[in-house]
This record gives sequence, structure tokens and C-alpha cells, in this order.
Amino acid sequence: MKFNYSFNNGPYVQIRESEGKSFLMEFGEFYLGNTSKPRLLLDHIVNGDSTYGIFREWHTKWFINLYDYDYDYGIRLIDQHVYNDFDKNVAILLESDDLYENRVWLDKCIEYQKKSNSKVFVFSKFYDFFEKINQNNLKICPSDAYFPDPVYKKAYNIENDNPYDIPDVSSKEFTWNDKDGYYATYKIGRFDIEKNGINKYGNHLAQDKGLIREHWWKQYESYKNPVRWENLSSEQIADHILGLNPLELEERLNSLKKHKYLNI
Amino acid sequence: MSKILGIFGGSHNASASYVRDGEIVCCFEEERLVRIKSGDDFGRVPSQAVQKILDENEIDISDFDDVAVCAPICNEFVDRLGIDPEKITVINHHTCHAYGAYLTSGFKEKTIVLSYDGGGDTDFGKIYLAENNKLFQIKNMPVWSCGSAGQMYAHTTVCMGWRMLKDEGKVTGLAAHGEYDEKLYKQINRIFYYNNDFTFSPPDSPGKTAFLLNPLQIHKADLKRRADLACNIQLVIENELSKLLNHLNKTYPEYKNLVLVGGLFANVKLNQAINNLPWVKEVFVFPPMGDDGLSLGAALTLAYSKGERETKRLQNVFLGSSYSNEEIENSNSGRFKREAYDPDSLAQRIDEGQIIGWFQGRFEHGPRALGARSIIVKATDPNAHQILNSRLGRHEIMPFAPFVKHDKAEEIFELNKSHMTAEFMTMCYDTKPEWIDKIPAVIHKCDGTARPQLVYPERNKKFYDILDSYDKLTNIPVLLNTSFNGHGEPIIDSPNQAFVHLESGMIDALVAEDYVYYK
Repeated sequence: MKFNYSFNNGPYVQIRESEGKSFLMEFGEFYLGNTSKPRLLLDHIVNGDSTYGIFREWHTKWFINLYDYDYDYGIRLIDQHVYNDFDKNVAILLESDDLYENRVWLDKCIEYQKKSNSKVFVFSKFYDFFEKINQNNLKICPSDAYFPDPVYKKAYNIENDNPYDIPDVSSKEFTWNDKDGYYATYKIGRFDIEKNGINKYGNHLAQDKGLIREHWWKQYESYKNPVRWENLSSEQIADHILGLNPLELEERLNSLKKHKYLNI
Repeated sequence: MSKILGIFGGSHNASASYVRDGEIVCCFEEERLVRIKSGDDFGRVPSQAVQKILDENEIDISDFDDVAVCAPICNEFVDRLGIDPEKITVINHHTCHAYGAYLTSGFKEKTIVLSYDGGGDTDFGKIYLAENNKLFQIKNMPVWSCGSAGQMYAHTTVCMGWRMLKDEGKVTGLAAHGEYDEKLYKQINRIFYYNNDFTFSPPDSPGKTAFLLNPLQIHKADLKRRADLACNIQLVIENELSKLLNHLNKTYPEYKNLVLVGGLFANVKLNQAINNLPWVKEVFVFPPMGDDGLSLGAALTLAYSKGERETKRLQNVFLGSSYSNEEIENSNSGRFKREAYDPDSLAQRIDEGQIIGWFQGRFEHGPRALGARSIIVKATDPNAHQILNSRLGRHEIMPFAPFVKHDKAEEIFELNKSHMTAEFMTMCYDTKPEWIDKIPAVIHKCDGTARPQLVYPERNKKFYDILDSYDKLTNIPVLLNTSFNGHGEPIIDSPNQAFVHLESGMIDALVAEDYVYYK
């Protein structure tokens, strides 16, 4: 069996060479990066030779547990993965048409790279402008050069076109945790709220079916922006998505509570 | 002093409650009014329950001084009600559970309060120490880092092919038919065990429960295999909960009373195991122990925080609507014969094997019918279980429950403590051997237990009187009491609903306030 993990627009697990078997996946996070505060968020039972992920797209310190079933023993933990993008490729897409905002977010990408020691690839409409002023070890690429998935890349017929020295995954299969692919992708922008428990893919999410974690999930405003962006600065939006200021995020989440709470 | 509206909704078991000057005025579960069992109806808000409170008390929403909302708040709903946002206070789920239960226990001496369920807000449970109206939270069990017996139980119910939040009692009932299986017990114990820090592990259990049970194809298995699973789940939960409570006792040895609340404590066998812990002096299980009790808990918690409520023994749970003789007769519209109610004549009917609908006063708040909307049958008929299931269209596995004269209860059941909670039918007891064959309709045939309701004349005179008349006639101070509803239906509210069941032949006669109605 082989397990691949990626964090491109949410955490994903790919289980290979395991046809006919079932697995329990658990997705959790170390809340606000604190490894003493693991929070289990969602679990799912999947068949072998499949891929499964969840759609919470901002940065957090994810952990993923994988279990199999043994007739005599019961449930066995067989693999664990904790998010760690050290020395790995991370794509950050700046989804704004505004040059000023792209500039602010570029600084946040630099901050992210310094904090994580990952290899950051920034995708921006203003790549040519930024390339001229880039003093850091960032790869800055045009926004339409991002292809996280080799299938897409083939569809665009650009297998051999790699002018920006971006990770080339075209010759590989879904080896997402291969160092040549993107380990994680983040989109920075102002995204619409998915309403009524239906995300952009039209799926009803498990937490909207009365499961216990629903309230916790619902304190977030969407699956891309942790909190509503209307009253936030460009800097704060990037901070939240890249997990650069988790304490500020917690304050923001608390501020969503409209009414007084009884502390007793 | 103030008028407080309590609200809980948006998930399951929506309800609304009214507490005035610290006293409970009324409580309504939405399911009774919309006539859909809450287990079939997720996401509902208590619209009709709030309206019922306003109508019955002839008040306006603006007359409330405060609105206590058990989290999560349904912003859209409270906005629609037109509540002044300044009046709204949001209270944590387990805080509502724990304070609601403690403030109705009447326990002023040192007490452990345990709220534990399948999760609410951000916790599976909270533990408090209480004394003289002061509560101190000593532990919470966050949903993301703790295990939950409630979740495991709910998902076992699903794996059995039944409905979560509706059929858990079937699993409890089935457990007594099963046997200990070492391998199964260990496998279950690996996904739910006590941590020695007042919490359980491993984190959460729904996925793990399903993953463990799915390969067993338990929903297709024979009754014996299902019963063994139910038995071993029950044993694991009883043993691990006992470890928690024994650890609490070791740490706080002077705290010997227990207040239990949360959906898990609808499990009367678990409550019995806890009650049997030798150090436990008295147990009180909050009668609306599940989320149906949250609106009342919210209102009482807020009243407590304003200094308007202290712990006070709950006298009864008759907190719903009542109907006069005239209203009942109007509903009858001459369809059925009627005669004045007389307990001795009714005792005769019961002894003849008739199934009696019992409709008296305000209906009960919580899952149990306790003598306001009940069905009464003699407990001596060994075929009563089969007959009732057939007449009521039910598929009960759990045995039916007895109600018994309080002054005779200890002759029949091993009932040496926790009498108060037995008034609300929330605890199992062993039956004395000489009585097991006398009242087979209300005794679990596998383990000889029953969940009796103790009846006191000062708190439910008519219900006591019928027992007394039947006792004089037969020397049996026990009758069978089950909820007045058909299969899949919430317990009835109005006389109309009662007459429908008389008309359909589900019951042979209906005692409604001061009259007996029959075909």
C-alpha cells in the first residue's frame, strides 16, 4: 500500500495499491499551530485505490490518520501524516486584479516562505512587474501557468512548455507528495460564501447533516476565507489564509458572535 | 425578578420554555406541536413552541425581560421573532444541561454534575462540582480531542439498521439478550476508553464505530449477533463511565450525590450501573435528559445568574398544555359514549385486559409518559408485550415500564436509593425474585430488571388512585405505563389526537379528565 498526501486547495489523501480494502481517514488540525491542541475535524471511510479530500482551503497545521480493519484486532492505525511544507513546493495564487493588493500579498508570500522554509511559487497577473523587483528567492509566475494536476496540464497541451521552471508533474502520476509536485496550494482572494451547506461543487457537506462538528465548522464563513472579508484589510485576508497570524484569526472568529454570551 | 424565554433549536429536539421569577411556567417541545418526531426532523427551530407560550400565557414577545438561547443561536429565527438583540444571552450547550439538571435536583449537599452526550457546542461533556447552589466546572471534554460514548452509541444504532436519535433504546433493550464476547469487547474498548484525566479517548468515535462495525454487517446479522454487539457496547460504556466516576470519587471523596444529564443518560441500564456504585448516595437524572431539556436549562441558567433561582426539587414534568372537560367533550362531538370516571370501575376494566388511554392535565415535558398522556395496561399478562406492540403498531424491544405505588415499590424492586429519579422513570432496578413472574409484562425477561415509575399521591393523585384501586382489586400495586402515541408518532398533545386512537381501536377506552370515553 502507498499513501500520498497533498494540500492543494484542501487536504487530500490518495491510497494506492490497496484494491478491495477499506480505510478510515481522519482529518484534523493542530489548532492555531499548537501541537498540544489537536482537533479532529472530520472522518470518512473510503475504499482502496481512491482519493479523498475536504474543502477547507486555508493554511493550518493538518494531521491525517489512516486506519485499516483487522478481523481479530479491530481498528489499526497504519499511517499518519502531519502537514510540513519544509523544503517543499508551495503554490500561492494571488486572485486579485489590483496591483496594490497583489503587492501586499506578495510581501505576505515572502513572509510565508521565511516562516515555513518552503519553496514558494507565486502566481500573479502582475508577474512581470514583480519579477523585476523580486529580491527574494521566490518564483514568480503568470497566473495562468498554475496547473496543479497533470491531467489539466495535459488537457492544455503544455507538457513540454515550462518557461518559468515551475514544478513539472506532467510525466508523473498523482505523486503529490513527491518533492517535484506542489505539496500545498493556497489562493488568496475575496471569495463568495458557500450558502446552505452546499459548497462550490454542489455537495452537501457532512457537517450539515446534523453531525456534531457542525457548529464548529459553521463559525467559519466559507471554505476559502476563514472570516468574512468585507471589513478586512488586504493584509488581514492574506494573514488568515496563509495562517500567518492565527491569534488575530481567533479574535476575528470570536467577533462573529453577535450576541452576549453567558460566562458562568 | 424577570420573565425569561428559553430557546433551543436548529439541530434536533427544538423546544421553548418560560421561566418567571425563577419558577418554571411551561415548556413545549416542537415535535409535540408539529407532530413529527425530532429524530426525523433535523434543523427545526421552535416556532410553534414559542407561539404556544405566548398564546397560553397571553403575553407578547416584548414582555420577556430576557431571552436565553442555548448555543448555537439561530440568528435568522430570533430576528424573525422580533426579539430585542439586547435581551438575548447565548449559553453553552453543556452549561444549559448541567445547570438545568442541578437547579431541579434539590441537592444542596456536595454533588457531582456530569453532562455528557454526543456533542453540543464544542464539547462532548462537562463535569462540575456543586454545593449549596454553587457550581464549579472542573473539566470539559472538547469534541476534537475526546471520545464520546454518545456518538458511539448513536452510530451503533445506525449500524444496526435503526435511526440515530430515535432508536437508541432498542440497542439498550437488545443488550440484555446478548453475552460478553472477549474479542468484541476488546475491539470496542480500543475505540472508547477512559483516560485517567476525566476524559475519554480516542478522539471522537463515529467514524471509528462505523469502521469497526461495518465489516461485521451487523444490520444483516442474526438477533444473537446483534444482541452480543449491543451487550458488549453496553458493557464497555458502563465500565468506562464507572471508571470516570470512581476516579472522581477518589479525587473528591466527599461528593457522593450525582446529577446526570445529556442524551447518554436516557440509557436506564447505564444509570442503574452508576446507581449501583457503592459510594453513590443518590442519583438524579434530569427527566428531559437529552437536548429536549436545553431550552429549560437555558432559562434556568439565566435565572440562576440573575440570582432568581436556586436548586429546588422538581415536583413533576407536567409543563405542557391542558384541556378542560368542556374542550374534551367538544372534541368528542358525540362520537363516543362517556361516563363519569371512577377509579374502581377503571381498575375492573384494566383487570379485564382492556387497553386504557390516559389523558390528564398538562402533558409531560421530556421523553417519558408519566401519567398525563399514558396508556395503561395490566402488568400481569405475559402476552401484554406482544398485544401492545400489535395494537400500537410498534416494534418495541425494550420492555414496557411499570408504575407503582411508592409505598409498595421497595417490596417489589431492589430500590434502596435514588427514589426521586425513579419518579421520572429514568433508572432501572432489579426486581425481587418473587415478583418477576407476577408482573411479566413490565420485567425484562433476560435480566429481571424494570424501570419503575414511583407514584406519590401528593404529586399525581389520580395516577396513584388508579393504582390503589387496582391494588385493592388484585393485590398488585403495579400497572404498565407506556406513552400515548402510535408508532413513529410523538406523544399526543390534544384530545383530538386521543380520540383518533380510540376510534382506530388502538385503545379500548379513554380516560380524559373526569370522564371515561368508549365505543
